[in-house]
Amino acid sequence: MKEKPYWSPYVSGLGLGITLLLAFVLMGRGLGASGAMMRFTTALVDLFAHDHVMANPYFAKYAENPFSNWLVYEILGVMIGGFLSGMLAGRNKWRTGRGPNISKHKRWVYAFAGGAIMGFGARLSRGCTSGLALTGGATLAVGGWVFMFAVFAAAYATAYFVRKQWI
Amino acid sequence: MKISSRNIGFGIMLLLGLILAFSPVDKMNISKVADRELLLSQLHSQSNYIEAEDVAHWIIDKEPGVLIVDIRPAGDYMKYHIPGAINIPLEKLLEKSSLELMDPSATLVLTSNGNTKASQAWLLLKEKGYDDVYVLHGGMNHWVEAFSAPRKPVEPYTDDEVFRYQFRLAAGPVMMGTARAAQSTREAPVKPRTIKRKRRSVKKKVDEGC
Amino acid sequence: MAPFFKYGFFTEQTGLIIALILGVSFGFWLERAGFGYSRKLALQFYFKDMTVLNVMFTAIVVAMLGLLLFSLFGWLDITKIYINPTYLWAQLIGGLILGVGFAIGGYCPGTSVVGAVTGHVDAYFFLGGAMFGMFVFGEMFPSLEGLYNWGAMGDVRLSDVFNISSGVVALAVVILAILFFLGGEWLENKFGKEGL
Repeated sequence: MKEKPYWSPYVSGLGLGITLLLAFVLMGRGLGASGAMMRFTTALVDLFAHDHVMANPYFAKYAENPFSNWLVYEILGVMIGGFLSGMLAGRNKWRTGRGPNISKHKRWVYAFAGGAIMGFGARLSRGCTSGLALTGGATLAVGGWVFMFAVFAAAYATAYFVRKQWI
Repeated sequence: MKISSRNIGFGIMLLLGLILAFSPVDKMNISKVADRELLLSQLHSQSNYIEAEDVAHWIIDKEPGVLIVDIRPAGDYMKYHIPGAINIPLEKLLEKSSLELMDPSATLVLTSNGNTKASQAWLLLKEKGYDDVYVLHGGMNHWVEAFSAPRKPVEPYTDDEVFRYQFRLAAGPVMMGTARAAQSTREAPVKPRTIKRKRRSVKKKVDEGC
Repeated sequence: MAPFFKYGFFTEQTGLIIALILGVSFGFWLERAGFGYSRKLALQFYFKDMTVLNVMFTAIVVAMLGLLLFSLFGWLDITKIYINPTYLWAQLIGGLILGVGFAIGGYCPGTSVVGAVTGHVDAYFFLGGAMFGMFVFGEMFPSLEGLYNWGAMGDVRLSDVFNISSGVVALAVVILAILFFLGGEWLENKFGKEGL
């Protein structure tokens, strides 16, 4: 099957906005992502070093029933929804997202490094682009807007130095 | 500018924004006061209670935004109190100077000797518009019992009970502050933990973020 | 009255099922917008594809207008909606760090999940990296606690800080969003739009 083009950003944004609004109306809270990843991380560390997790106050608060949590279920849903959408548009195939001037393996290294930096930043600011910028932005939370502009400012500033990766 | 669905969308957004800018949106928010049926249902389902262990965890974690308010008379407070607790005797609860001490965005934990007076204070504060208020289940009587002389679980016991017992033993010295077993029974001691109920909403505090 | 969960219309277990369904919708729309593809996300930062900005601001505006209008009609008690607590400096610094990670890694946590399920290999490396970064943060937490709580302001909204009605803030956000949309289209044309 040939890949179908992506939908208009405004249509997708409308869909995303209605989803977010439904989350507010039904549950009184927004969407998120990195909280669930923190729980996976904690569970993984817990598997190898239980006492260590219990001794660290930051890990310990995620360690109790790590998977019986709203965000974890939501992320499972995101996996299903993303897969369905990709399948319907014929986009589900193995590949690496990269610019034309970088090798696959280099791109993997960058992806890991970028992920590590982002994971650290997401925990420091108590949220990521979906949990803090999107949800906080819609509820007009001060932190959400400060965070959003900080993210874009830093990303635009960094973009020049990693341009070989993408263009 | 040509008429496309995109421009119509922009127009609708702008129109709704204009309507909001000139309408009393913020006036609608005050409805949080005096939602009496909700308060009643919370009282009935006992979801206004927080367990001693949860409070102890918060103290150990130095959870930000938690304020423990001791509503016993000043004399009792001087004898012993939960570490970090502030004292606002019940009769002074609604005075301006007292309300200033209690940050509306903080999580308040009310403690008295038993449950009764703290629950009354809970109701008053809820009506004042404080959103995040809890009553320490069993009050100071239970707190002292739990942390100065925790009862060993009797057989057959669950892992949960053993864990709780060990936690109480370990946390005891910190949680009791200065005086260990003080005797003060103004209100009849309440036997907590007779009703097994699920703790919800209390844990929410920990991570809602992202 | 909404929010239904806070009024006890359903239990926590039902809430988890709702989370799953909302997640499906969330993931679906993220993928539709093309957020599973790191290059499409990253081209944002070279003004060649402003999808990220457009989608984010459309979603924010729609949800914000919905929230405030529902509250105006008395359908929803906005005070029971969770507001992300503000820790000004922690979130500013965290945001700067996260932005650097965004430009290098090409994903953010939510989109990397979508990228992973649609077969993007780099998303798996990103996810691994993100978990590693979170692990490092957890390990360093005792020494970072001061920074983590720096600038605590509680659950404040923009309307509280600027002392204006939230309706006016909403209008300002709408205008800002439309300016961003139009400016974005202009920049895309200027820097050479790349349709992906």
